[in-house]
Amino acid sequence: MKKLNLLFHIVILAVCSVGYAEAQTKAEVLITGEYTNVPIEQVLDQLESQYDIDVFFKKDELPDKMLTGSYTEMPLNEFLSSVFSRTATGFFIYRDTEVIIVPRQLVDEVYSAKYYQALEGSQEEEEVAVSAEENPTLMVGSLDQLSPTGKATVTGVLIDAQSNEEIIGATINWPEQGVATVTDEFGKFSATLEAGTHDMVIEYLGYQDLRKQMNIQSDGSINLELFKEAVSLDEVTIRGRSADASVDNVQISVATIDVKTIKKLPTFLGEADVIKSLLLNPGVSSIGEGATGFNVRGGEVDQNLVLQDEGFLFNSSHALGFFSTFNTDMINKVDLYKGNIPAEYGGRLASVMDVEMRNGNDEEFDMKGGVGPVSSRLLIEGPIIKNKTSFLIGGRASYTDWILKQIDVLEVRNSSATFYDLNARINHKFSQKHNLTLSGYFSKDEFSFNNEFGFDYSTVLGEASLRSILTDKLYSKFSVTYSKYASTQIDLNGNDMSSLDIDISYLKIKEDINYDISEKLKFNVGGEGILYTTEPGILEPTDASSIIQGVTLDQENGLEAAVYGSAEVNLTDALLISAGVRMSLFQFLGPATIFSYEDPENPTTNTITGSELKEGTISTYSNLEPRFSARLKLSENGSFKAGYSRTAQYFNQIFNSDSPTPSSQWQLATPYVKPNLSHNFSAGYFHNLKDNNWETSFEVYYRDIDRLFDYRDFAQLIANEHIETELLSGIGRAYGAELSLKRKLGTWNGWLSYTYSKSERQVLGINRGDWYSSNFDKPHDFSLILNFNPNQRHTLSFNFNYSTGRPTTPPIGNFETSTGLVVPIYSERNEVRIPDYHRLDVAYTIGQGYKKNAKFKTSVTFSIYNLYGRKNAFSVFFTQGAFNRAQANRLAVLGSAFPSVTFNFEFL
Amino acid sequence: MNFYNLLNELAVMDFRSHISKIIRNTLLGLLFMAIVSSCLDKIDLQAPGGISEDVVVEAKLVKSNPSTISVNITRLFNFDGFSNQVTAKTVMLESDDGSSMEVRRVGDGVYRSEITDELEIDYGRGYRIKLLLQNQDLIESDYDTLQRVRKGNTLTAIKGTKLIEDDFGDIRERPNMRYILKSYLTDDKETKIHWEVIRDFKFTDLLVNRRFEIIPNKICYVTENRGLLDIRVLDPKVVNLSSDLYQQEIIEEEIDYQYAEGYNLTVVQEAITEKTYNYYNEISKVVVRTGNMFEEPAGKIRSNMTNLTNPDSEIFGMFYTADHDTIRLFISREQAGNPDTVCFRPVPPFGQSPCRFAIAECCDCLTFDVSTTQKPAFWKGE
Repeated sequence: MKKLNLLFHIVILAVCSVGYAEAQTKAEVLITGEYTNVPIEQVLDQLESQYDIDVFFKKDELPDKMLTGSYTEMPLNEFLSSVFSRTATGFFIYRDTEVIIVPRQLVDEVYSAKYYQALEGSQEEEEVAVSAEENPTLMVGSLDQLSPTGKATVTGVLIDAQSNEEIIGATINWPEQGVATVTDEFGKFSATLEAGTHDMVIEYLGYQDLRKQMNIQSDGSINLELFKEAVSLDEVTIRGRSADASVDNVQISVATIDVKTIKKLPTFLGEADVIKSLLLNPGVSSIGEGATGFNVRGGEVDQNLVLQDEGFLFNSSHALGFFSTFNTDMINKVDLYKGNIPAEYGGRLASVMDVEMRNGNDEEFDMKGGVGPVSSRLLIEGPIIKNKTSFLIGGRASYTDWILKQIDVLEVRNSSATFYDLNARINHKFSQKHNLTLSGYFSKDEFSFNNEFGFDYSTVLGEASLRSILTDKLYSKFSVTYSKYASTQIDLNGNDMSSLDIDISYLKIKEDINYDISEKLKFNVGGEGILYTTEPGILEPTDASSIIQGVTLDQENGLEAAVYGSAEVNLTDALLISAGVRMSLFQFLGPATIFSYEDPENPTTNTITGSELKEGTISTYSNLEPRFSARLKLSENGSFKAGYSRTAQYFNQIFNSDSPTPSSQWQLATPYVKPNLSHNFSAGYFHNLKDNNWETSFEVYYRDIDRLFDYRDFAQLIANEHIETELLSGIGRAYGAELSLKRKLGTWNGWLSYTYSKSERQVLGINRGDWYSSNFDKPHDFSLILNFNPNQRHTLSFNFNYSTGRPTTPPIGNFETSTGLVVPIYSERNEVRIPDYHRLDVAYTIGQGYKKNAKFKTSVTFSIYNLYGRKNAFSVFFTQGAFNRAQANRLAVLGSAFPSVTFNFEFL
Repeated sequence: MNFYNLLNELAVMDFRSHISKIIRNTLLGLLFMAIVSSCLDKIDLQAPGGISEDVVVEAKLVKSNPSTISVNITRLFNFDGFSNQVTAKTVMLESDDGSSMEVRRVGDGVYRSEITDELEIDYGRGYRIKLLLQNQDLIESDYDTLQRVRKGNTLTAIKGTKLIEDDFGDIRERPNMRYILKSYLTDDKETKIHWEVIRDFKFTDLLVNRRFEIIPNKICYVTENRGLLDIRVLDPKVVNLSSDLYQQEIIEEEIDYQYAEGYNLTVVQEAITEKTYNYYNEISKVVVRTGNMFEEPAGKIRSNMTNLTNPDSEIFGMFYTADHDTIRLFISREQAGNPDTVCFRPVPPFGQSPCRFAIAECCDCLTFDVSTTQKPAFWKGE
């Protein structure tokens, strides 16, 4: 007799797989015997010995019963039924070859055919796998732990084999099972599959595909490694984080930007730019060339939360807006949430741009860089303690001055524009489960024009984050971030020699916890607190002869706090829901001078009745911000998604020009400047074709902005101690439809996007209270990116953009003063549009060589920005022409083609 | 070779062995191209137009001896024509003490009166105008309080040179004249200052006699409102001054033919109210536009006049009071360094008018927009 615990299943399967072919049918065995008070266990032992029957049971599950009776050629089934009658024990004959004794309840209710099929398959595959030494099967769990349902949840971490850095956003796919999952920000994954051996495929851009068999025996965890491709820069395919993520993910309105893709796009003056790449996505646009920031679905530039890990940036532009502050060599992944924002993010109305920086290689040293016409970059990484602690330092610096000196315009020759930035990062693994990252970022810009005026601005960002995997299902991220943005605007000429200083800093603490109860139910909770300190304006004369009177505005302080929670529930295979809520609170803190007005709802300079220095909490705002998204899979390759989010923004950048200047102040919500609020709705259909190589999507959205502000005509915004008198409160709306078509692989690949949108406002005091277009309302926006890859090393890229001209305010008439001055009278705000925008860029990249083991690798990108030299109008303004006619003048920031060459290198 | 073959050839090329050649022949050549020079040009973009019915009232009360009130009523003009004068039924000047007087019509839409006994013009007192149009619309301005200007302001000139870039891109020195104005600001810091700069120069046109000799013909005195677009206003409250004497370079200009026969610069310093100051400030923001990305948006200039009959009808323009001080400085030809005249009339081919080949003003100096052969009373030179 065999006395077994549940490990017996392994034996079962061994027997099954070997003995199946010659086994006689046990059910047909006839039992004959006399039993008088024989223990059941002994009866079963006799069956095995007399009839060559394999009986599996757990002793403690056998009934406490003695068998008494006489049996003559009784079929085994009937015999066992008799033996276990009136007991809680049941049995069944598995595949007619073995007898399984288990509690009756399990036989009746739980143990399904799938369970045994899975066990069988697992065992068979295991044997096959053993012989495949080169590609051994990955084992997960233990059969004795297998759930009665026959399913098991596999969890683990996917890491870079060289650097041990977690790989984020990679798809792990079990195609036979129709199951796929994506690694999260910790590199973690989780998927529930049927037990057994299944093919597993992991694809991630820049890494070799990993194809293995995985033998899943029960719930368990496994760590997986991917190896970088030897010629990663030559990789011509654009394979996203997930082959079918666009269809499968619950989140709608997310654009994920791949860094390798960014590097192959045509560039302006050779500088690969994250933000310019974002503009190629539907729903994302900018005011024009050289403008700071970007606009998402009708939102202002300052309504985007630009995250660099957990820290956020106030100014993400170098050189007043021509380049972004992100060093692409440092970036792991970029996600842009265009309206349907998860609960963990908040503080901005329109979007979240989440830039995930990467850690250094903790196994070997690596150096890479690039040399372009106006800037160069260098990155060094390597281990401090091998496999435990790594560092990464990257920097960029511009050297435009030598080029400016070549230009035959005196004012340009006397100008200067330089920037640099530096990233440093140390990552330490206390264990596989605890990871500490310390990172720092510094950037600085200096710009001066003809010794007349200049800007000087810098950003400091420091962050410490501790990531912990508490259990297989519970993990947390705790971070502390400090950042300061400071800007000085300098007037160097005449009687107005002065400087205007502004700065804003914050200290942010955040805890984020993920709890994956199962593949079907995941929770995310957390909280954050941000303490802001701003210097809204310090205006000082810089010369004894200057007539500028110094003004120092009060420092302002504010506390923004939020707690949030969300759950992702897989209700059925087709229906996936993510619902959450964010409770945000903002307090404007003293000391601060608060003016009082005759009509507090409409403060003006003429109605100031007094002022008072207030301490403590001066005003408090709170908002409940529900977040919801759902995915309904309509077919294997198609899904419908919808989402809603409520967003609140507690501070804004104050500017009424087309683009904010580096010195545009940041204004916290005060008793008069109330937080902006928005409802964001979106819905769309997503469909993939040809094994997910083609991605298509169609989305519609509507944003109802129930509180915003705009500016009075001729608003005085610099160092204004009662800035509320220059603001007018109103509402806004933005709506549109976005179409996207993408081919990821193939000799010809690329994507196309088209957006139809409107962005409008209604503000009492502007345009007689009627709706009017916002500055960035561009109804038609079209982008086409076409890549030609004849082989893995060469890429020829074309980028074509078209958009409707943005609105502007024209003069509609004149009058003449007594001195003969002709004064234009302007129309209602934003009544006409400037000419449409279109531009074609081309880039040709010769990638790294094919030698996998080369220690020094190079690549080069030739690029021509604005190939046909289109003079796209950044703005149109009117002057008085002949015969008092209004003459339209076009200011094209880039009026010609801009070629560039960037040389990239890498030492391994 | 077709395109695919070209790419395949490039694919097998050893890049590194060619990099120096590529850099030498291609890269550097490209890098020297213009980088930051933006492009500004004229385009066809129709401004909407079509609001020519709205009325503009420009009115100014100047305290002097005697004080004067002048009112000019026009309609806005769009881009197809010129201003149309509007004749009112009555134009009244009122004081906040209740007294009033009618302003006399001196032309279509032009009203002007010297203020004698009917109305007292005093500092600190408010004045306004009321207009009754032919269509019975009653237009009224806000009261504007007369501010006091301080006298004794001085103007000096400094001759020098300045580096400029000529049409060929060469840097050269240019003789220039800088005018420094020393102004006494007002006692009351609520009072704002406005300056107007006017220049007059003497200009003699030429005649070619039958013998083809060039001979002087007639003398004109030409008046120009200098720096028309460069509106100068000051709010003493927002400037940092160690004393109440405010010094500024009011103008800097090249010494050219206008200095060849004598030149006079006149600065009128006016004391104005905050509303008038805002009005000029707003005008200065809309008359000169550059379209750069940091430029403040254009807006509608606020008027201090209202159409009481039809409040929805917009009224443009301004009524304001001003006390002023006039400062003049004469620059002789010698003081300017004896600059040349611009008129060198060429001798024409036989039978043709010499003026076909000359600057029009050299043939007839009255061609200048504002010029007269009457020597101004303030003219100090010959």
